[in-house]
Amino acid sequence: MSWFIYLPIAHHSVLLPVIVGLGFLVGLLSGLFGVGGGFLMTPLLIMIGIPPTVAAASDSNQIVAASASGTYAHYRLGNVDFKMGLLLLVGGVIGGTGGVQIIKLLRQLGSADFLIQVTYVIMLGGVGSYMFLESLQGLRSKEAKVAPPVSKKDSAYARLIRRLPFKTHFVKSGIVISPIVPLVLGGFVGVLAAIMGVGGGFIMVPVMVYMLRMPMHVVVGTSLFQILFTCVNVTIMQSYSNHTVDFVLALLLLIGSSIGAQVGTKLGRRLKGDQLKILLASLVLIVMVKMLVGLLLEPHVLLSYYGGD
Amino acid sequence: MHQKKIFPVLLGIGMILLGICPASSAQASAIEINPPRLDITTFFSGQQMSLKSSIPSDRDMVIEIKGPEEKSVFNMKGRVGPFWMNRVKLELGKAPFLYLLLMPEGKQWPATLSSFGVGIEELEKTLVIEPENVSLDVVFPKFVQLKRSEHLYQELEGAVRYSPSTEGRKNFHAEFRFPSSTHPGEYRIMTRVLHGGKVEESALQNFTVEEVGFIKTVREFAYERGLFYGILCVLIALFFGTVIGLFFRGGGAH
Repeated sequence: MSWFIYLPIAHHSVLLPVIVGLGFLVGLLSGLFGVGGGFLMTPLLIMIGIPPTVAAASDSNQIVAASASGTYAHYRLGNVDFKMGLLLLVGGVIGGTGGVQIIKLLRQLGSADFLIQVTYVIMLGGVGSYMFLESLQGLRSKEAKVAPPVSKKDSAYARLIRRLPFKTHFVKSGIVISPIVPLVLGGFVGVLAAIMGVGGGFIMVPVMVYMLRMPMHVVVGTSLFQILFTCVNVTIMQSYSNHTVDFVLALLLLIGSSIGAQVGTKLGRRLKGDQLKILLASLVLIVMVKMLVGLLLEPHVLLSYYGGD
Repeated sequence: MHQKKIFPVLLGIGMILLGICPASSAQASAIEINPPRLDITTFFSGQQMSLKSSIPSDRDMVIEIKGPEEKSVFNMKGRVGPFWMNRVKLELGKAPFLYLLLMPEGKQWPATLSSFGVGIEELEKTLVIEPENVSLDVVFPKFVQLKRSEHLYQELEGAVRYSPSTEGRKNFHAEFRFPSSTHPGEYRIMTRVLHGGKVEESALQNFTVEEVGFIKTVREFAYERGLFYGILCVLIALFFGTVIGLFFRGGGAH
């Protein structure tokens, strides 16, 4: 029996264990951190010769399985805040629609790619560094059995949040907050995700942790729940408009990713919130450094297929 | 009556258009292609091909494999301050997906063949670029570099090998590989017999690469019923995600 399989839409033959293994690896990250993993999977698929547009669209399809698997696993553990997830999703859809218009305008101005890549590096660098340092501080203070320093007066953000109307109790997250906050924050992430061309999981997770003050384990489950809907939409739209979803590729990836998501969820339960955050921060910083190096070093081949980096 | 006359004429035109006829009355009779057809099946991982025939012993054989022509969209990177980034989006048309030039050993073939319009560098003349204000002279070397890095454009000296035959002739044998990323379509195999630095004869044979079975069914479904295909992809993904979730739950590992 051959270990190769031909992908009908990508027009490329791939080694079966490599694709299933890639799916497992990204699914593992998904279950651990609540990210879709598109920012990692798509470049890896391009590296093994899959056309960029097919890689991105098929990846969305496999994320549907990984996030369904992960959401289910987290739901059983009581880690999904459906109310919060829906509000963030609605905000994300509105923000994403606005983001698409912004990117159209930027393309007309001719500086879109520059702004996208610089936004990427700044966002990843900023979020990754903050998460890393904050989690490191948290871990050290726990080790020293000293409570982290408490700020004496509330920030402007905290005061603003307190003044907002329609306060609602989000039971799973254990917070009381106006639904306007997740709607606006979801919209903000939607705009960024549309500009950067990613699902937004790695931006949404820090937003939930630091701006909504949700517990890390609930953040992971709720983020996966939201990603599931985003990727269902992307898969159907890409299949209908561009015919770029390769079902065979997605099927192989999702077999690996669904198992990986389960393993990641179980692994995540053994880690503390700060440990999870520091691992995700490291991953985000690695991706940022890779992007920065790509921006600064002259590429070996100056021409690339459209849809890649 | 008219129908009887028209039919052979149409058949003749059709054969010329399909490239079944040799380009000249060649002594280099139709080469033997093995395997004679290529089907892309589910477990396709590329295919080793062999070409053979015979030519007069004082001649040389050069084989050009080309096709199918495609239109592709590219990003071209350029420098902005200290950063390398995509600066131009462009489209290249009439570029063959695959281009292989199989030559015998020695004689500095690429330079000789270039004068007959044969070789990778000669493809620039047939390419169409959009937008037109982007210089093809600038883009073409980068395009060739990209295709060479994917092993889709190659000039292979020593790929045509000879062995003695009878009656003043010699056998030639050439091998090449359709890569794992082979696209379906019509490929053109052009054979040229060279003598005294000139092309004495040439012949063209078409070779069809086709998708069959499951691969063909999936592709047709994706293109003809995109919406249903997308919904089915989502449903299958949801099914697998949930089933694997249930399986892990059943295992009682948590």
